[in-house]
Amino acid sequence: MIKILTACGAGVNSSHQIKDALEEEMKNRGFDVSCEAVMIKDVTEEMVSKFDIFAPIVKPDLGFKVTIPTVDCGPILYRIPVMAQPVYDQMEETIRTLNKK
Amino acid sequence: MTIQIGFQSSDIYSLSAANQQELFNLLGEELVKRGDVVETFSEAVYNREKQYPTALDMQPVFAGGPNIAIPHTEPRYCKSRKVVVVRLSQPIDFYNMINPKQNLPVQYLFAILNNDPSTQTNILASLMDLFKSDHFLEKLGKAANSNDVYDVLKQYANVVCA
Repeated sequence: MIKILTACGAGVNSSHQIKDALEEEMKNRGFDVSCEAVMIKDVTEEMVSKFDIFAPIVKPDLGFKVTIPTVDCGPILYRIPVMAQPVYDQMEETIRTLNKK
Repeated sequence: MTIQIGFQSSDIYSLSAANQQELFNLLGEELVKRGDVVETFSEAVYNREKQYPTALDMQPVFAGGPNIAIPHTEPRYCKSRKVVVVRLSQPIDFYNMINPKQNLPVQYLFAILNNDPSTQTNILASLMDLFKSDHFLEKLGKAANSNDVYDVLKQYANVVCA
């Protein structure tokens, strides 16, 4: 199981949209992923350390160094396949580098 | 699945402002008068825009059409649940949501008001589906006033107008 953390500012649940899209697409690509959506202001160093990949809309300044791989997922929000594809490809590549299923 | 978005003709504004601060002050005044937001809404949405920008580069969807921002803030600043549309007489610079270093001239706001923190709204997904609907941005770009904007919105199946 690959654990992904996604985060957005409050208001329109964009992180939930990223969560749903990532879980569906990575499942289609044969990976067992679980994605958690939180608000950026709630992200802590300890929280990040419990995940394999960080998947924010865009790299935020969290005030600490994120030591897990980060994939910017903002383009997924456009719901346009040609824009989302490179993000999914990068996510797949990142998952493969983790060497876990 | 796409859910429907409701628009009231009275929630479509035409505004003219020199910058974001002026724009949000004008919009905030209108929305406070209507009982849609609290007094501190303008400041909250302006500050949030600085921290988490919301402009969408629509050029990949329709080159030459208007860019759109979807400003929003936390439920405690809102007293209603709706999408407010603002047509700007002159575009105003906003930063790109997925590339915050990039400035984009924005001609439309689809401001999302949501006073219910428990609602898992898919409004962003619905708006995105609307923005990429056939000829939507082309028609929106040609709209000259708020009546025209309303007429454009009415033409789309996932929109309920009142």
